[in-house]
Amino acid sequence: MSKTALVVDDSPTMRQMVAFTLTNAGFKVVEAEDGKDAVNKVAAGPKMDIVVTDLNMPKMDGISLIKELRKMAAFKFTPILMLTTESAADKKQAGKEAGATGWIVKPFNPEVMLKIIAKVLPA
Amino acid sequence: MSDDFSQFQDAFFEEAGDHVAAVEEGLLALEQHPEDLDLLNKIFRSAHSIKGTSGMFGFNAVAQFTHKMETLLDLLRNGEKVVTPQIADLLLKSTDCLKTLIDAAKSGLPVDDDSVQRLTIELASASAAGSQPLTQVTAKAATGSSAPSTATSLSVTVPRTPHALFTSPGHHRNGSSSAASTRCKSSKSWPILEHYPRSPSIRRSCRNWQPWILKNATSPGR
Repeated sequence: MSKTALVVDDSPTMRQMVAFTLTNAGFKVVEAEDGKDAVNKVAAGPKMDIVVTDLNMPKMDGISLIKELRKMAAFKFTPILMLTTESAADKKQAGKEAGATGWIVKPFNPEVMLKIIAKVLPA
Repeated sequence: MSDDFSQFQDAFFEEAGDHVAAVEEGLLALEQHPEDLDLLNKIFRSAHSIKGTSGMFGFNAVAQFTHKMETLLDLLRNGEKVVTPQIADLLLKSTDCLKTLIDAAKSGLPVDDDSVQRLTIELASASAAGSQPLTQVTAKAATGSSAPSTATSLSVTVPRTPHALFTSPGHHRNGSSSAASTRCKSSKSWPILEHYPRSPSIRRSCRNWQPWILKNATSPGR
C-alpha cells in the first residue's frame, strides 16, 4: 500500500515539484498551501506517513504547524521534514524544538530528498 | 530526474510575475505606511518564494539577487532597520532589476551586469550593521572609487547546509514501536545537530550519507 505525504508550501510551483517527486516515487500526496490549510486537511483526511513543510508561509508558518501536528496523537511520531531556504541556525533550532525530524534546503535535489525520506520513514 | 522539473518553468515564471507585482505594490504601500509589519511580511514572503523556487531551475542570478533583497527586508520586518524613503526607493529599483533578471532567465538574453552589481552593493550596504547613509554609498559607487573592492568583498554567496536530521532515523524506523519512541523521548537524547557536507554529485552524496546513518544508529536514543 502506498504511503501518504503531506506537502505544505505557499508556492504552488514548489509544491508541484515536491508532489511530482513524491508521486513518482509511489507516494500519495496531499497538498496544503499554508499551515492552517494543512491542519484542516489532516483533520479531514487520511493518516499521513510523512510531512514535508516550508517554513515561511502566511496564516500559519511551518514552525507553528509542526507544533500543532506534534500535539496530535496521529503525528506524534510522524517524520516531519522542513524544506526551506532558511539557513539561519535559529530557524533550524526552532524547528528542532518544535519537533521537526530534520531539514532539507531549497533548492532541493529530488534524489537526495527521496533518500532522506526513505531513511526516516518507518519500515 | 531534476531535468523533469523543466515542465514547471512556465508555472514558475507566472508565479514569479505575481510575486514581483506583489512586492512592487507592497513597497508602494509601504512608503505610505512604513511601519506596517503585515505588509513587510507579505513583501518578504514574496521575495523569499522567488528565491527558493528560482534556485530549483538554476536561475542563480535571480536567486542571489533576491537573497540580497530578502536580507534587507528581513532586517526591516525584524525592526533592525527602519524603512526610510531611500530604502524604499532602493527596494523599488531592486524590484525593477529583479523583474529584468527574471525576464532574462526566461528569454536567455543578457542583462546589464553593472547595474545588477551596483544594486547588489547598495542592498548589501543598506543591510550592513551601522551602515552609512545610503546617499553616500550611492555616490561612492557612482564614482567607481570604491566600487571594485567593495564588489569583491560583497560577492554573493548563500551558505547552505543541504540537509540534516535532528533525530536518529532509527527512531522513526522503529516508530511503530511506541516503547522505542518513548525511550528516545524520555531520555531526551537528541543527537547533536549534524551538518552534512554538500557534495557535487548524488552518487557521492549517497555514499557520504550512509556513514552518518550508521553513526546515528548507535546513538543512545536508539
